[in-house]
Amino acid sequence: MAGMRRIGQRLRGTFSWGYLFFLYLPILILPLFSFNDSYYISFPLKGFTTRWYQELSADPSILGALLTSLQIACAAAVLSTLLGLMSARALTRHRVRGEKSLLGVIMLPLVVPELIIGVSLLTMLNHASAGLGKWAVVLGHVLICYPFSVAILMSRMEGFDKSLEEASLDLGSTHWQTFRWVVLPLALPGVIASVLLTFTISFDEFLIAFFLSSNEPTLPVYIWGQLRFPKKLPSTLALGTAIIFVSFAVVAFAEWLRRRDAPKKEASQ
Amino acid sequence: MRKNSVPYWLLSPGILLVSVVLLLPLAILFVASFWGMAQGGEFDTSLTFANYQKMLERPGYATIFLRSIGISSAVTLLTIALAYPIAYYVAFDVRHRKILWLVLITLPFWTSYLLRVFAWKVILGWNGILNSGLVSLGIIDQPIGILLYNPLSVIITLSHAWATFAILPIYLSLEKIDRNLLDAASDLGDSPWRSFLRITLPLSMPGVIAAALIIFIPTVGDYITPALVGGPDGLMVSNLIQAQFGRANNWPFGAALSVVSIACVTLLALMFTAFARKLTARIH
Amino acid sequence: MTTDKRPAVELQQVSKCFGDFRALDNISLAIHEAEFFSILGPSGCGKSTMLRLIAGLEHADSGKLMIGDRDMAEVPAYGRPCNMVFQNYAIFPHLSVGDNVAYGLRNAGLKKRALEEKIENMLNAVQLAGLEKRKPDQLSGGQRQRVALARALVREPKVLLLDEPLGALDKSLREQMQHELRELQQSVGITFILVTHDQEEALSMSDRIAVMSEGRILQIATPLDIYEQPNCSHVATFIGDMNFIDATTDDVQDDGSVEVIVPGFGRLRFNQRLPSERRGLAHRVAIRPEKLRISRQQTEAELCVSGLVVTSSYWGDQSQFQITVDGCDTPVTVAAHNVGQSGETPPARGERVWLSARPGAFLRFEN
Ligand SMILES: Nc1ncnc2c1ncn2[C@@H]1O[C@H](COP(=O)(O)OP(=O)(O)OP(=O)(O)O)[C@@H](O)[C@H]1O
Ligand SMILES: [Mg+2]
Repeated sequence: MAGMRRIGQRLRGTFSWGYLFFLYLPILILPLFSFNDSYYISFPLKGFTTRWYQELSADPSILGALLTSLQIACAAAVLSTLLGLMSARALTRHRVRGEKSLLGVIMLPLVVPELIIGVSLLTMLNHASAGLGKWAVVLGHVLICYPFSVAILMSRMEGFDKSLEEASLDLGSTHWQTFRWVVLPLALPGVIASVLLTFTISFDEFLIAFFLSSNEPTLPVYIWGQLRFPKKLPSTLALGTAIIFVSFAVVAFAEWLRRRDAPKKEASQ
Repeated sequence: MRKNSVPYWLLSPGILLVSVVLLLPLAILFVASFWGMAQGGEFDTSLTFANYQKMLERPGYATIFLRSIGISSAVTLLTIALAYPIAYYVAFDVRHRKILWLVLITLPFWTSYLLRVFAWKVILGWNGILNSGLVSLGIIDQPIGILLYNPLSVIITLSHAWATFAILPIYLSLEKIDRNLLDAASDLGDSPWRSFLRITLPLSMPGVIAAALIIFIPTVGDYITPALVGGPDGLMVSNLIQAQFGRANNWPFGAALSVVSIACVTLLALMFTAFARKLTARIH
Repeated sequence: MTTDKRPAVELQQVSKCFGDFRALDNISLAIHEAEFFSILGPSGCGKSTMLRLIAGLEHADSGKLMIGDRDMAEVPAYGRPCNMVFQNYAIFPHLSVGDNVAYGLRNAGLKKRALEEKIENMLNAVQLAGLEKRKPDQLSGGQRQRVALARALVREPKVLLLDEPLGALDKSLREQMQHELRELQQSVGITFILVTHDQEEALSMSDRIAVMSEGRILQIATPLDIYEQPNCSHVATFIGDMNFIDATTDDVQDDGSVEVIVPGFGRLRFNQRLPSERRGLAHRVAIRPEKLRISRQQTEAELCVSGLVVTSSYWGDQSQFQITVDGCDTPVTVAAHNVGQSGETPPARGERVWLSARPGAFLRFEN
């Protein structure tokens, strides 16, 4: 029986590694062919080149899109984390009537397809005769980032010891000072993780930006436009590689930060 | 009573955000679905059921709705079937590097969705990486045409894109299972397979159900994947909706399509939850 | 002895409810300046609630709280001249020992030099010198306790509130800290209010003790009076051990004294009356185990009765016996200090012995 269990474990291990390969396959394909010296993305490989990257850095419209994306992502990350911090604080520290249904409302943007969010916002803004552009995209992105912020910050703040805050009040700090000197420092890893992750979500988001960005395309919208031109494919691969590489670094750091204290928490229980 | 109002002040900006940026636009979208188009691209804001009638009368729309639901169901099943073993492996077999595994599983999800789907287009295409690789290896001598631009390519791409969302909830529910239960079962003479069927699987059902909902709901409304790898046979309802807001320039009809797709998904999700609840109640 | 001083903390008819549950029920008490005051009671009786109320972390539903001459109704927690040592210490995990102690002085506007000096002195006073750079998770339980103490004391409060500060420590460390706390209180000369459910701790450290039960104060008195003159059977059972024997009032004399029939112990005379005293009143008399003397021979004492040993247990410094006195149904517990010569064996099970006591050692309680 022990032997059978061992075999099962082996099988699952092999499967899991295979699955991981499947997960990473597309992400590995992009960098591989971004250095391939050919317009065609197919085997056999033709030889190493960096010209797609050079082409990329020479294109001013990419720079514009990159700047737009960075501005939008920064604004969305900061705003959604701020809102998330307030909500997570309310839900973890205070007793709120109807907590479950409020949480349901907060998580609602997760289950509505981005397409629907995009077209409904478009319809509303159009109906209100409000212009589109960066700020409209920020609005949509804050909405989809907000549930992630709340979830991350709630999981960070759930285990907080209430008596730490009481001790701070007792030692002469006002509520605001207590927040600044005790709550915020303790929540900081969660705050950083939230900022980084919401930044990536916004930076990578396509559909909402597609409908709302108007004549200020974000990077994904720009890429979408490029996909129509076969000649542009290799440099698009190069751009994708750069984006994925940066996302990886940012997210790996955020994940590490968020999970770093998890084992400690378990041990102290 | 000032003290009791603090949490509501803290929550109000977030709730306001969801209300104004999600619920209000959805309400407007709902109203707009009863509008029509007047001459010259203007909206005719007198209320009419014409958009819904159009959907019922022309069979093409029903086909696309059914196809969307079919594709999403297949994606849900496939993704969960593939995710379960790896979730099980990480929960029960991996001992020291759990966090590393979890980070590795989560990472791809955070990278650009558009780029990942695009990569699949590059992999599966007529002149794509898979075909050219197989040809240059001499395994096939003609590129295989059926890889791209059909429902199957949509299913493969989507189950890749949503893998993380299946693995994590299943992993979490497996991780919660008290290991003593399994020891007790094998102590009572259950074979590993039997104790899996009688204990592990039922206890992990909440995770599986969560995964099913998390995947099914958004994939019905996915736009990028069918647009990039679906071809004409793989088109889904969101492509239809987008077309109404784009080329076709019939927003009210797009709104009606959106309303129906939200209604369908909500109805199906509710039915599924009710069914799942009954099922788990029978197990316990 | 200190009753002529004005109170440092005063509660007047304070009540506090959590929903329908009455955690504090009409509490009135006055705590003197520089007093070591203990609040003693079983778990859940409202001790922490009372302390948190004084600290400003809870708010009373009704009643009045004064600290010094100030009404605290409108004063928030951070404005009150009292500081608290929390049950779990609540040390800030993200700050070093030094920063923890300095936390309460952030708003004081001290110069860097003065601040450092103050912290150093404080750490010396609680014997933590040299540890200011440590993080809290590198401290032992006793050290954490001292950090919590230093952090509160460095603000020079009028009143120090301690919520079971020694509960988490092991026995020997607890005894050492009890001693240190008492010394510290005497050297800083401020009011200490200590919450505990450890009666020995309360008895050995306090100037006065308040015994609580279910949100009410049963008795406030010096340790001696609490032990020797408990005002109700609750207090008598909660503090120390007590034998209770059902008794009946036989006669009420004109001079105020009463005669009581105690089964097995005969007819006893008491000078104080119970509130509802009358002939035939069923009530209980009580006597502490160590006030009964055990011997193998009959003694000359005024009260000396005979009985059988039911159980005998040897505890090192003392022995305890259960004895059924002839004519009394409930066995009584007797404690005897083992002061005899080695080799002298204590009475064993089944042996016939004599118990003697001073009649004045008996207390009386209504049923
Ligand atoms: N925030 C609260 N909400 C509801 N009930 C509470 C709250 N705080 C305390 N209580 C209740 O009030 C009662 C008194 O609590 P308190 O903490 O004062 O007890 P305690 O005497 O300190 O007990 P222990 O010795 O166990 O610390 C308990 O029954 C407790 O359940
Ligand atoms: Mg307590």
